[in-house]
Amino acid sequence: MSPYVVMRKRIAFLFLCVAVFLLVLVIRLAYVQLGQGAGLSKIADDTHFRGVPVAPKRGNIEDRQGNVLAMSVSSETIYAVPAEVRQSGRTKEIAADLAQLLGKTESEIEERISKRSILEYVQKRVTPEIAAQVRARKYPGIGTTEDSQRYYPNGSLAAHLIGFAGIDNQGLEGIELTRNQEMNGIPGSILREFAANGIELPEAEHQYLAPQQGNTVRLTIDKNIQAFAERELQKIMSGQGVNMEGQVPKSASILVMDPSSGEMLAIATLPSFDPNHYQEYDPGVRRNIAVQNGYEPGSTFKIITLAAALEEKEINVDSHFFDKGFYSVLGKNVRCWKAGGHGDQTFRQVAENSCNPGFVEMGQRLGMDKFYKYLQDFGFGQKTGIEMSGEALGILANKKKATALDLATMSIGQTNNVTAIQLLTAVAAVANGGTLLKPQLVREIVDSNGQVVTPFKKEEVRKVISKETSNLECEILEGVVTNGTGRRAFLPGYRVAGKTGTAQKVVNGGYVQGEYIASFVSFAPANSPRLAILAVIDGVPFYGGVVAAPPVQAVMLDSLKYLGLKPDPAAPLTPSKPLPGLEFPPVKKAAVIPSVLGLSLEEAQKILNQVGFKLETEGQGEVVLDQIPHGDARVEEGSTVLLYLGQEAGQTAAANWWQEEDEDIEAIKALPGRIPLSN
Amino acid sequence: MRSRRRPDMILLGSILALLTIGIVMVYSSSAVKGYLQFNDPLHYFKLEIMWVAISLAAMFFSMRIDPQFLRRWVKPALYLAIVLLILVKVPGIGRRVNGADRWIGLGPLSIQPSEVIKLAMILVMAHILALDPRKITFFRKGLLPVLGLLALVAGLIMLQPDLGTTLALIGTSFFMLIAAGARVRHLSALAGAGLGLMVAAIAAAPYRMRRILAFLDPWADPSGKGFQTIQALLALGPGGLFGLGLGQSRQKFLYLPENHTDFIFAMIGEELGFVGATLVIMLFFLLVWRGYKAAMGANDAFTGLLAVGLTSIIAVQAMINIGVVSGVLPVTGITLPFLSYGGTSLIFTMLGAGVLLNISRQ
Repeated sequence: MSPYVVMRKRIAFLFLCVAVFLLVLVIRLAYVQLGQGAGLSKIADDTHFRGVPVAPKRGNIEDRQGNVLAMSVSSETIYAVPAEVRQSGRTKEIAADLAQLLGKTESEIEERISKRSILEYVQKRVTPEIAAQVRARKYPGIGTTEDSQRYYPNGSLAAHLIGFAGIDNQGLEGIELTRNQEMNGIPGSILREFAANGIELPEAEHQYLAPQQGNTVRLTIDKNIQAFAERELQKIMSGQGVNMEGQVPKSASILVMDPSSGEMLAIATLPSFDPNHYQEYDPGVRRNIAVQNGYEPGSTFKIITLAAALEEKEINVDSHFFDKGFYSVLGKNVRCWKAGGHGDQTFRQVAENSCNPGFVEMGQRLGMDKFYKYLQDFGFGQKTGIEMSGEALGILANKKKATALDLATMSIGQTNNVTAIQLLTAVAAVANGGTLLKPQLVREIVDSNGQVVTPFKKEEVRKVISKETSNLECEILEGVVTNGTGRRAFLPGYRVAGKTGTAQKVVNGGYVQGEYIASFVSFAPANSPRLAILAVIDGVPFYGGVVAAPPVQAVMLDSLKYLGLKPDPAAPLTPSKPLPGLEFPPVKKAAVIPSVLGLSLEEAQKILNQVGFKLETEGQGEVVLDQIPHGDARVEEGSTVLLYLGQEAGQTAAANWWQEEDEDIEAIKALPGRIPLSN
Repeated sequence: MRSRRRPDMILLGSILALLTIGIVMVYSSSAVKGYLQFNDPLHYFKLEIMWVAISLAAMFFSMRIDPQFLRRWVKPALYLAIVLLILVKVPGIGRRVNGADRWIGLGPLSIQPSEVIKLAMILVMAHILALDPRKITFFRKGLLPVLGLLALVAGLIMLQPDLGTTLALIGTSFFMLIAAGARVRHLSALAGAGLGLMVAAIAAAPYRMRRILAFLDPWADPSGKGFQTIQALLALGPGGLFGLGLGQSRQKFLYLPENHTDFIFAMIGEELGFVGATLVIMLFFLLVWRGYKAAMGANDAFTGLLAVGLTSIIAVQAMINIGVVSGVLPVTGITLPFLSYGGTSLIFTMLGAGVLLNISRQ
């Protein structure tokens, strides 16, 4: 075979090789361009397009009537595409002008617009006027986008519940936090095409993805009832509380619940804050003490002891109990608040009189196991599950370590630590026929078209007591208001049930003298409760029945009227016994009391007279051991200061210096000392 | 006497068609770069027009050269090419671009000696292999001297370094050896040795290894080693069947480097789609077919082998380039004949094409 023939064959072979390889390339291209095309296109789009986010409008927070509590108002955000700014070579000029427009320093703006990032926010939340001016400048790489800003039209109203949202519209506290996701919606964006060096392409494809607007959260709260509660709190916190003698407590809360559904109609706490300017407030002020703090409830807790004793048939309301003035447990006497005791009474009268030995008797009859069962069943020591972050558990004495004396003090509301929301929820269970409900804050979630997305659902936790027990106890508690210690909450023409409470404050494991947590819990109408109200006033030298009942009475009356509940013709028009001091005291000029603790009577007299205070003394001795009101308290000018004298500091002679009898204070006094909290 | 028949019109047509597509695509893909670098979107297009004009002149000139006449120039061409390759390394004459000495500056002009050497080597190889057609079947007498010369030239090119040109040259030489009738077992051994050399080349310059790794899994390092492959795929993929439309490339906005030179095929795939890309491959197929046909119809062994060489250099470069762009071969800097922007490359490709067209007359 000649070489030439070989060459032709070899060339044909080469051609075949090339043809095959070209075919492989065509197949590969088909795979990349047709097979993987869609996936690669997406990646390419992600590389080429960058979204300028368009924030969705955050949903409102409304009260149960649709009144707006929190809303989003449109504002605009100025952003920069630093690469474009750099490209224009006008960075300095732009920075100088924007700095002037926005009231910032030039270097600050310059730093922002020359950052090495794709997109930089120059200024959030500018007014439409400023945004329009910025747009009119037509600076390269500077643009505006719509944004929204949170606004709370009612200022501090229900601030602890609503909470607030931060600069990026993210919920930080309260409902703003717990329902953040639902209110936020889904951001949209404007897609713009960019070259690899960060320059926006001229006439580039713009794609607009509309944001999905957030949902509205409609609360169970009623703005009006919340306002009634806050009005009463403001009176108290400004030294104008009924019977408060011008004194200002540390804090105060009023909670209003619909006991039939668990819906919270109001949770008011002072001091409060304005969520529009939340940064300016101390974080302590933002604490919702009604949910996040526990306290010793005192006699209001006797409602629970009574419910348990009735349910377990440990007592018959008409059977008799003799109060000899004290009750001996483990060699210690738990005294009745009434010196000498109430004598012979029925258990109904025990309740009306808030007779301590009577309730201790109930506790002892129940015994440790049953008593703790009801503590658990009524939800103490557990979270109620209300939609507030940081809810406290409360502290119960450790059952394993608890003694009969602990049982005795627990029966009258001491030793254990509960939250206001726990107590009100438990009392609501007593009022509503015996079912413990989960207290709720959110009535429904409504989307941007007004459609209800999530309707309200009553949540029953458990059945605690029978309907019969509930009815009986409602009747007894009505007697407390009509005949007993709760007469300051009496409303003519309405059937109101209630219970007072005064607890000494526990600081560092010991009780603080002369500073109480005064509380009052009430519900009405007693035969078919629509409202349950608890007021807790922290840090006053007064008793629950005296200072906490009047605000509850005021909120109750306004709310009953507001809800259109007509007076009951069968209800009494006056309490069985008249009660002094129902009228508001005249408001006088306030003055600060100097502290005279540890001084001699003469010195104290001189100082107090100088400032224009009258004084009274109690006890025998040379040294001022205590004073009521305390030093630094703001009281009415010319009030009387009660000085408590003794021989030496730390030794207090027994003297009945309170002006009004209070069962809790007596009980506390009767205790041999601080019973340390176990658990 | 030489026949004065018309050249192969299919061959000419495919060359002119590729050239036309090249002009259009260079314009489309270089506009952004031209605007950013020279404030003139037509900057590269104007130069391309100039180079096309020159290279067309070169082609029509070389179409008139008798291949046998070229044999006289074998030795001077070889020496010139080697001198140029050495000059590349001489400071002041050689120009360093992107870390490689591939250019020689002659006043305002600059040329790539490796383009010259490709043609020169084809000429030299065709000459040697045609001297005594049977000699090549002997290893020591025939094959070894050819390989020695090839190794010398390839070594000089690798000094720049320029792996793409080296591979194109070795591939073309291999094709010519096959056509010249070298023994299959010699060629197999050679292929094995070539593979060994490639391994050695990779060992010598680690960046080649990274490129190879990148080709195997470009997504492992999308911003580093796999960058070019991925950017090429991100051009091809969105192109789909019919492409984004002429001038509608998005990858040309500085995403794909070398988009008007080595990666112009990706631009074709993006703007003209699978259809356009396949058309280009079809044109290369036609060109290779008619080129080899011309080789088979040549009057003598030298002319035939010259045609094989000239066709093969185009085929090998096209295969490697498109293979790189479509991600079946590791990234190697190699131009796509007739289409990539670049003066020297275009002129010498067209010079060779002219000779090939002249051979096709036979």
